[in-house]
Amino acid sequence: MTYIPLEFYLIVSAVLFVIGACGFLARRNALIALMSIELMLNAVNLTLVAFNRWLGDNHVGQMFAFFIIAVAAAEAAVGLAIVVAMFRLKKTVLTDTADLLKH
Amino acid sequence: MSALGIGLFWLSALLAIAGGLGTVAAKSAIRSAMSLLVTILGIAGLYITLSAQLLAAVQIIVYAGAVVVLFVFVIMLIGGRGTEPGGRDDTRRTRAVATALFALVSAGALVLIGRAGIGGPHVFERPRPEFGSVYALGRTLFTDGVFAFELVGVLLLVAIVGVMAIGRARRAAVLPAPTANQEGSAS
Repeated sequence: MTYIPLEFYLIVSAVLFVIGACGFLARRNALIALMSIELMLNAVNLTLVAFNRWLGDNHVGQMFAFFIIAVAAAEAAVGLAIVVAMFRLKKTVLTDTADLLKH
Repeated sequence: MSALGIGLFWLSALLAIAGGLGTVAAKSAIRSAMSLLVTILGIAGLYITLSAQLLAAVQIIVYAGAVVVLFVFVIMLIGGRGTEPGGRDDTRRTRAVATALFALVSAGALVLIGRAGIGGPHVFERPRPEFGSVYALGRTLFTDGVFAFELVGVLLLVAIVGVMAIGRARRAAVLPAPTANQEGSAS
């Protein structure tokens, strides 16, 4: 094959998003759940950049990807602070143990 | 697209998907973090094949340089003690659930794609020479997106304050404050 069409990027992005979503739903370690969120954000970024390359008149898609990277960095920082606070309280980071409001 | 670009696409796509699988399937959190790093490098390679060079550099700097390091730092603080499964041996059930979810979503996506049809390969045209350059992207960022850019600055400031508020150790609850101590001894 002498070229890579747009669809290949979208397929890679969709596969990454599904992997991230399944990881977020199935893993009980809060750290790995946060990493799965990062995977999903990266998949969305890849879609944005691929479509921006397809509609090459402006750079709005890449600008959106920039903002998503900034939001992901803020989200990772706040999420990890919550994980540290939870570890201080429960001595574990398994999400099953975060059931304070159930009892 | 040159042969080098096609090779970079396949290599990066393979790295990204293998890293993603490793991230969600690894047993220990540190292996997940290293797999996430592989995914991020793969996505940066895909950005380069999409002639988004600045975004590839930012991806490496922000994700590999800051976010993954933050994850590794927290794993180091917590240690292996907090991240191991707590006694109950139900990882097999968790994996079965994950596999079933993955198969279900994949089948649904295939059905949707099969019904809608892809509609022929969309081949990229050759980009303009300045596409993806720092000048062109910076111009968009500081004209069309300048308001959002300023708001991102506010967001990062709020995130810093929030992290400090959440992560601070509440020593006042453990040790009585000096004034309270004096009052307690007086009474």
